[in-house]
Amino acid sequence: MMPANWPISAMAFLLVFNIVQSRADETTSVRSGYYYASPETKAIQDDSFANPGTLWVEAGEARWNQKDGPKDKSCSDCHDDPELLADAVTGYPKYEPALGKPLTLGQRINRCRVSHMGGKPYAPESEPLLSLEILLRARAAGRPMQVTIDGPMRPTFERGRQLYFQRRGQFNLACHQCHDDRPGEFVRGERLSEGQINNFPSYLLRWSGVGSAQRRFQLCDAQARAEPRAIWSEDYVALEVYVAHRGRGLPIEAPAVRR
Amino acid sequence: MKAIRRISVPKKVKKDQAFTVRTLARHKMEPGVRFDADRFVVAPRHILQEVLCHYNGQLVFRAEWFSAVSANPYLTFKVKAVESGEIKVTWIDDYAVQTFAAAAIEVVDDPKS
Amino acid sequence: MVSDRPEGRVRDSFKQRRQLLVSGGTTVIALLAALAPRPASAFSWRNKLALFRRAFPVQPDRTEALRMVDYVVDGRAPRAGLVTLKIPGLVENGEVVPIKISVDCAMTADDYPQIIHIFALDNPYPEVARYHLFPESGGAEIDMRCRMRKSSEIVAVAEMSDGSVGVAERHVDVTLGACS
Repeated sequence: MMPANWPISAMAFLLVFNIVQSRADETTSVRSGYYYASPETKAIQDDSFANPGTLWVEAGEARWNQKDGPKDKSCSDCHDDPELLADAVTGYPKYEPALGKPLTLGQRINRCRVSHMGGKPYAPESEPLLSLEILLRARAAGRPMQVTIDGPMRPTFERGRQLYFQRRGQFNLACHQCHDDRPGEFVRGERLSEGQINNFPSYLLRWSGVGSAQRRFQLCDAQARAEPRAIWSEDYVALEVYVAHRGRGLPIEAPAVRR
Repeated sequence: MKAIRRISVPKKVKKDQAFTVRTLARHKMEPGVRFDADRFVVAPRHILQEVLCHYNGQLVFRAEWFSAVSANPYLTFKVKAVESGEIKVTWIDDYAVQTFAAAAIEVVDDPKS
Repeated sequence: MVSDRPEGRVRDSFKQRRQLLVSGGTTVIALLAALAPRPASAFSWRNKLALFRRAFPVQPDRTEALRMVDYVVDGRAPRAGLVTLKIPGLVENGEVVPIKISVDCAMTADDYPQIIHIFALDNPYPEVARYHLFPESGGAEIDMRCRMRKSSEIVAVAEMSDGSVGVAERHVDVTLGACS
């Protein structure tokens, strides 16, 4: 009943199938949280006049040109236009050789303030810091995220990956259970996304304001009934490195609106 | 936090046509109804209470807001084009602090312009 | 007063013992209250001294909200089709519920909405906003964003210049409530 050349066709099919499958594993299609948001939330983000995140970008523009600190310098004195830093912004969190650890964009801005402007660092999640962060991300909008994980970043990346797959909290949940296995499904009326951070710092409706990925990780921990860790703690920076690398290739979205 | 007030009107409008005024204000709009575990109110109410729109000095729109209006309030309303001039929107908060935003509007088919 | 009569002395000793018991008991109770387990919140002098911050949360009262709506409507029969409310049926977060109100009228001196009231029936304070329009408004179309604590109805009442009213009501499902 079978054709005479069935072994050859079968082998050819298996060969093609394996190639296609391995390609699928290499280039997993990643989707930004925008894809999983409700139409109303998307409408708020798309309307650049009514998008509340743009208020923070505007505040950031004012602060960029504002002179501060004992040296009486502003960001624009050294960096001129924030658009010039756009390519650099896509690589954060980045390794800082002088400190021997990776820094998030917020930490890097603080480092600039301390070492080059001679000023005091901004408090984490403070309004001035978030304004500057979202300004830089807004100027880099559309460029793909590309976080390097070679060399000195490798241990942090591995730690981040370990944390991503580690169960935690009273609900005993690991990140991958929701964000790798069940994106698009509902948890008590809320639609799960892939947990990408290409849109952070983002305006979140629940905060009525802008917050960074670090703050979102704290909320994730709280939602799993785990004790949230400190902003810019080693664990959270490692997690941010892993999640940023996981979403490599996604275009930066700023200012974004999420629930 | 710097008080950012935004207003958007079309640049040119035909006479006697209604145009849309879009506004956005940056304000926390703290409702004063959030309580923590010890029954202390998290923060007292502090919202934008009133929005006025003056078209060349004449009041054409008035809004009274309560604590249920979202933070960073967005408001859109219509005004009829009569003559070229200024659309000025005033926001007044719970402590009678006034902030403004204004935009110029040009009305065509208008003997003045 | 101490008396020489034996009953008086016994009564006084009873009084003293009672006084001792009462004062001792009060001390013991005070000590127990001081040592009793407290709610696990961080101590702060601000909290300790700012007694005005201790307030009673206002609970949503749907009957009261409907009474407010009835007060505005004031027994008048609402005109059908006058007010249109455009709201999404389901919102992700109660912090931002986009509302679009439009009143179908000529915007002349005898046919324009003088006041448009917006209510959210299950909010602790049901009034959301009041809009005062004029014939110079040219059109009665308002876009705003409101907060809702739970899945409930939004009611819009338009009081027209000729004394009539229009009422529109839409149910909204809220996934995550605001101000909670």
